[in-house]
Parts: sequence; C-alpha cells; structure tokens
Amino acid sequence: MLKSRFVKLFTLMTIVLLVASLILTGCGKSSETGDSSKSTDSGQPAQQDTQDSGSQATSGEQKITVLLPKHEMDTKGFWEKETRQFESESGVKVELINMAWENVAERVTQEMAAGGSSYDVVEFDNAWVAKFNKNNWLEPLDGYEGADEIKNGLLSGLVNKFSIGGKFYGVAWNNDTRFFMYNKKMLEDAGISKPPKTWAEVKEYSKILQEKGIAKYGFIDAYPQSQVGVNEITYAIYSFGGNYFDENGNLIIASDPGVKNALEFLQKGLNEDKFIDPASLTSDYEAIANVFFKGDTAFFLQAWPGVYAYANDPSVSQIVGQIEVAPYAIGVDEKTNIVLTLPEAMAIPATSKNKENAWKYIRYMSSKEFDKRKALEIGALPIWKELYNDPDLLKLYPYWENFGKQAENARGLPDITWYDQFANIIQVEVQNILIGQTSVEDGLKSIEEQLKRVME
Amino acid sequence: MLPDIKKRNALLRNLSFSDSNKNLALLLILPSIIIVFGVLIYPICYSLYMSFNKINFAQRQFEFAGLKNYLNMFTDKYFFNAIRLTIYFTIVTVFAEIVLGTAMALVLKQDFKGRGFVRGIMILPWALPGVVNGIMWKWIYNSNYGALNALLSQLGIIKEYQVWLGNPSSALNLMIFANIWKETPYVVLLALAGLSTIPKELYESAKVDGAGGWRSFWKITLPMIKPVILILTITKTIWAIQTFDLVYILTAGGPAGGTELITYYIHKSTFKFLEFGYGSAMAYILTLVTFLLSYLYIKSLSKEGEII
Repeated sequence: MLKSRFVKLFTLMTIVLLVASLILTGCGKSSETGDSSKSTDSGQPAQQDTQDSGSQATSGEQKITVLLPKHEMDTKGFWEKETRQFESESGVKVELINMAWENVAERVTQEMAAGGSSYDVVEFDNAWVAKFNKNNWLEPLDGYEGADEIKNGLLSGLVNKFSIGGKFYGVAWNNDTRFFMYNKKMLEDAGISKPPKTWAEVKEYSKILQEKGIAKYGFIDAYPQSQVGVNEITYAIYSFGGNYFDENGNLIIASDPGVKNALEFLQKGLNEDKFIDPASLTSDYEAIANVFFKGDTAFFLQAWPGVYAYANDPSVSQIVGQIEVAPYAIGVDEKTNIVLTLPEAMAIPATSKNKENAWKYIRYMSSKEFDKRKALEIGALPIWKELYNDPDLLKLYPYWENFGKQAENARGLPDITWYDQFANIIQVEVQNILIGQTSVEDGLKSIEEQLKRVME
Repeated sequence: MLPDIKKRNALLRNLSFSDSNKNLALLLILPSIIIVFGVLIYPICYSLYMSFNKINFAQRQFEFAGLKNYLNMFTDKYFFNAIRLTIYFTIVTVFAEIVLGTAMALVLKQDFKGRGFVRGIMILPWALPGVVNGIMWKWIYNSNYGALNALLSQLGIIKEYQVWLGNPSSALNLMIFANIWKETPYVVLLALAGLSTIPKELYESAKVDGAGGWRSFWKITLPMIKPVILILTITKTIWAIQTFDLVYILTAGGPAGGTELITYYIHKSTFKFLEFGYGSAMAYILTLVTFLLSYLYIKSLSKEGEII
C-alpha cells in the first residue's frame, strides 16, 4: 500500500515537473539573436550600450545577428574576416549568416512580415525599396551618427536607390553593376578586330566563332525560373529599348516593340539560330561563369566586376590573359547600350532590439577604409565616390576605366510594391516563350493580362 | 475451468481503474495532449481560420473573405497546372516504386552469393537526405558538364549534350526518375519483410500441385503481401503529394512552371507572395485530397476486417 502511494506520488511529481518545464520553456524569453554564434570570443570587455538593453546576453556580452547573401566575389572569406575584426574592435559579437540570395530573400521577407526580431542587420535588395517602405519594415538611418557622411560620400545613385520619401534606409554593401566582357583571344583567332556593339553583331560574330570551331556558342546567359532569370531578361529588354512600364507606371509589356524584339531575338537565338547556349534556360550565374571560364563561349554580356579577376586565375579559369572589358555595352543603338545595376544594401529592421550595435556594424562595413580594402582584396567595385580616383586602385584595376564608360548608362529593376508576384509571372511566362511553347505575341499578352490582374 | 475464470475476473477487477487511477491516467497523458494541441490542433485550426481571411500580414490585418480564397483557385491557372503535375508525378512515382520495389524484393529474397551486401547497399539511396539527393541529381543532369550527358555521349546514344532540365516534359520525368531512385529502397525493405512471413510450405504445396513460378506469384505471393502493398501505396501516395525538397533544389519549379508541384506552389504563394489566406486554403484542399485518397485506397484494396 505504502509502495503504491509512493509510486503514485513519484509519478505525479514527475508529471508536474514535466508540465512545469514545458510551460517554462514555452513562456521563457528566447535568445534575441537566434542560434549560437559562429563567432569566436574576441576576448575584449563588452561595451555598455544604454540604448541597447535588449542586446545584453546573460554574460554581459552584446550580440547582433546579420543576414546577408555572400558577395559573389568573396571566395577568400573577406567578409567573415572583417566581421571578426569588427568584433574585436567594438566588443559586439556578430552571428553572420550567409546564404544564397534566393534563400536570404525568403527569410527576410518572412521575418519582416511576421514582425520578428531575429535579425539586426538584413539584406535590402534594390527591388524591395517600395515594398519595404510601404510596410514600414525598416528603420530610417538618417538620425544615426555618421549617416550624413555616408550619404554625402557614397555614389549618389546608391544613396538615392535606397532612399524613399526623403528618408535613407539602406547602406549599399554590394555595388553590383554588370559589364560587358569578352574573350579577346577568341575574337582575334576568328579575325574579328573589335567586340560587338549591337545585338546584330553579337549574332554575326557568334556565328563566325561557331563556324570556325573556336566557341561552342557565342554566349550563355542565365534565364532560369528564378530572380536571376528576371535580371537577365530585364537587361535584354532594356538593351532592345523596351520596358515593362511607361513613365506613368502603366503596363506596356504587350505593346512595347523593344520587349517583343528582345524576346524574339532570344527565342530565335536559342532555338533556330542556335548561337545562344540552350543551357541558359537552366543555368545560374555560377554556371554561366564556369562555361565562360572554360572557354566554351566568347561573350559575357553582363559580367559582374569579379569575373575579370577570376578569368585570370589559373585555378578556376582556362582563359587566363584572354578576357577584356569592352568600352561599351551591347544594345541596338547608342541609346540602348545599357548595363544592369543590382545594388544590395544593409538595413536595420524596425523590430530589431539592437539598433545601435547594428548601426555600428553597418558603419564599419561600409567605411571608406573598409571599402578600399574590399576593392583591393576581392576586386569589388567601391561604393565611395572618392575611391574611383584612388591611385592604388586604378593601378591595380586599369580596366575600371571601361567600367566607368559602361556604367554611364546603368539601369535597375522596376521598383514596385508587388515585385515578387511580378517577377514570378515574368519568370514562368518568359520561359514559355524562350523554349518555344508559346509565340512571343501570345506570351506577352498572357503576361500583361496576369500582371493587370495582380495590380487590381 | 470455472475457478480459473473467477480468478481472472478478480484480477481484472483489481486492475481496473478506480477514480483516482483515472485521474492519474489523465494526468499521464496531459503532456501529450498539450504538445499535440500546441503543435498540431492549434495550427490546424488557426490555418483554417486564415483560409477564410484576406491577410495583410505586414499590417496585421485580417479581413473576412468568406470562400473567396477557395473560389480563387478555380481561376488560378498556376494552381491547376500544379495540380495536374502533382497528379502525374504521384501516379507515376507510386506505381513505379511499388512495381520496381516488389520486383527487387523478390530477387533479394532468393539465395545468392553476396546477398547481404546487395541488401545493404540497396538501402543507400533512401538513407540519403533529400537535399543531398537533389543536389546530386542536379549535377548529374547538368547540361554542360553533367554525368548523364557524358555517359550517353560516350555510349554514342546522343550526338550533342542535352539540356535535360530545359524542357518541361523532360525536366518533370527526370525529376520523377530521381524520386523513384531515392524512394524505391523503402518499398524493397517493407516488401522483403512481407515476403519473409510467407511459409515455404505454401510454395512447396503449389509446386506439388503443378503451379509454376508465375502462378505462385499471383496466387500466393501477391495475396500474402497485399496488406504491405496497401500500406505502401497509401504512404507513398501521401509522400509523393508532399514532395517539396526535390523541386526546390533541382528545378525551382521550372522551366516555365513545368515541375511546379502543388506543395512548392503553396510554399511560394504563402511565403514569397505573403498570401497566407490563399496558401492556407490551398493547403486545406491538399489535405482533403490526401484524406480522400487514403480512404479510397483502403476501401478498394481491403476486404472487410482484413486491414482495419
């Protein structure tokens, strides 16, 4: 009897403890910065930040969580190294989360929509400005210490891109502008003296290169069903003089001759003329760079700045010493020789509980000194105006002169609050056109109808 | 006999719950109830509520929309496309996996040298994480440097490299192949377990009666492992409908939406376009279809009292 009571009592206590622990676990305040940090302890005393009481970890440490895509040119771990340097200088620990852009985009959107405070510094893409502003998801940066210096010193295009309604929301970390590069040796071998300037010349030269067996295809681009595909299709449309919207924001995609010409050109190039590598339909940026580095194609229509350095790195490239930057981009005439600019910024979510420390990180990772180190070490384009006249950089990267010429006519993606739905329709329907499942006219009509439905 | 029954009844009386024991039982299952309610019942009810609302998550605004989210599916061509693809994907993968898996189990049931090794190695694809499987096949199908192109080219089957994932039809079928490759070993495992329960005497008797291998398979093997096949068909159908990771890694739904299965489309609508109401409504329809299919399978394949 006594034993039975003891068993009951013991069981009851166990259950009570279990339930209590469950309740406590559920109600307990979780860590504000998510998972355990990848950081190494800097060994320095933590700084006290009166505005950041929420950032104090149990040991008195301050910690922020940063969610950014990895810089496409950073194969040396430059960003990670600098983040650790920031830690040791500031005493603020950083959990740096790097993922592919698409994954970061998903996480940031979900986190912002849910009003979470897991991240203190997040990716802020050039195509998200209108959407993020409409939802008040970000902290304006104007009032922070040193913000004016950044606004005045950065390339004005980068400041304007991430400003809306008179407020400044993001500090660019990746001046991602694309440039037309080509394989000079291949052209010389084919007896072509200068790079193509128009789409017609791209086709003509590609044919010559293929007929002579110098290149498998003229070029490969990235047209998969993803954001990458939208970037490259948008570039093609712009460079044919087309656009999705008119000056008043009205949809003109089905009636704009530039859009039709661009898609017809690409469709024929992939399926009939066959000077565009059909692998373009499934390739991402990494894949098209690989093909170019192996010497299978001659033209890289929208290469990011780091492509030049990689093409000359024998560990990844078979075309060392062959790459050249053209002084102009491809178009149909002088006005359409455009390049695509896709800058990315760092921003602070309005819900972050570590705003001051987040700003310290942003300030450090966008300082002029940091920007120069970034340019010297990984060849990334600077965000500071002054650095374009820096003798050290000009000596190291003489081809930047041609970057400057091409960048005179740089354009970005459409900035609309419903960008994700827009991009999805463009991705799917343009692929239908490119693989020849639907005619260009029918495809464009279908796109316009669907986009109008979303707008309504 | 009678004293035995009395003893047993007395024992049962002692074992039956008194009121306090019932309370203890309730207390014992309380943690489970809390967990099930918290992570299953509440989210299910909440998502049902969401499916009847137009939600602006950013502004925390819920606007009652009645059946609008459900009705919107009938005018959404991407939804219909996803349903069509999912039905095709499910039918082909489940059928192929069951047939192949059963055939492989029959072979592996035979005595041969190295059978243990083959059985061990056979399980490898199933043990592979879904994401790893997706990445592996992505490389195999790579149009410029993939193993499939190299193999077929060296065998002289193709003259030039193919963009396997560049056409909706071939992309879908190759995605199905990758799924069959990974999932068939599970069928083999269960079918082998089912086969091991069939007494050898049955086959010996059949042989004496003049039945050949083929007849023995139809009259003995298949009826005996039918319960296993039924369970496999149900679980495999549900898993096929829920396939997500392979699409996410291998094709991202492309090209031209040609591999966009329903789970991927629900994910995209919900978490990318932030249409939580519409996403919930689609998820509910999917759940309903899954339940219905399971019920139909059980009704059509089981005899009364045989399975349930």
